[in-house]
Amino acid sequence: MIKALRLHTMIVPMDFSPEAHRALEVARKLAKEAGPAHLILLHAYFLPVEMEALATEQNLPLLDLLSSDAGKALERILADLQNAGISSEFVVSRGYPGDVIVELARDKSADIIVMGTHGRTGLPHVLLGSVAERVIRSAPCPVITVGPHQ
Amino acid sequence: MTPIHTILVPIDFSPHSTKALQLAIGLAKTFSAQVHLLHAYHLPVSITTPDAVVIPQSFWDSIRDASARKLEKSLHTVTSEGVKCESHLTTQTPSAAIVETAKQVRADLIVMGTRGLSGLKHVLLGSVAERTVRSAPCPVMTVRSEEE
Repeated sequence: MIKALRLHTMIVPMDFSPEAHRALEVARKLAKEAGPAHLILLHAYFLPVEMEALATEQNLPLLDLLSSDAGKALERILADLQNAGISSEFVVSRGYPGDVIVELARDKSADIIVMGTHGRTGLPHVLLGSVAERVIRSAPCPVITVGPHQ
Repeated sequence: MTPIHTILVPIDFSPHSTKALQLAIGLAKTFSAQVHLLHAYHLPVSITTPDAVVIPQSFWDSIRDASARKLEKSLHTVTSEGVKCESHLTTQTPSAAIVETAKQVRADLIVMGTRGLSGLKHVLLGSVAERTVRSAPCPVMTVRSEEE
């Protein structure tokens, strides 16, 4: 017999787009009803290659600012989740989001990734975002995508 | 998102879709949900018109019968797990059939493999999964099979 599915660790990539927030709603429901699961919010920020060259000593304050700004926003979401009785934490890391998400899922042995089909940088006419596509193709666990037609 | 009552599982009997079905059964048990199985047997148009050769009706019937038998077996797999299940057989193109059936049965979630039977080995995300993910009326859970 197949056992009822129980989720222990969930990853929710968060780029603060409306779709990411909708994915978070789905994740909250799952964390409660198919859990109790630990929810990891992940914000990955990425500098285009040309800008990597700018990641020098003098620009470090700017990079810190980028990550602490995201951190503050994530802390607010986290407080909300914890008030709702959902065990959660957040991770901020620099790198290409698709790769960072897959890597974290592997490190944490995640049971599932819940994310939007389009992120913040998505062009409106592109029907499936590159980050979601990358994650679906290479994730070590099932992926739930929340799209624009829902 | 409402609680999960209805799960749509498109299957093409590939290892990926078999794995997706196992996962869907587990989810259905967690949520006491009902499973809808969907199999679309769509033949490429080119096969139907090689120099206007008329393909006998019996050929189509045998494909339909074989598909129906396999679908029946999958349905039995689900019901023998104590999960309520219905099956749908169609000749529509798979991605269109999936989206339409999801609307029709008011699916709360679609569970499917990332790549189906017709997928080339090196293609990691099949066209059916990709189309479904971007046009589904509900969240989509995609599952990879280990042997990739």
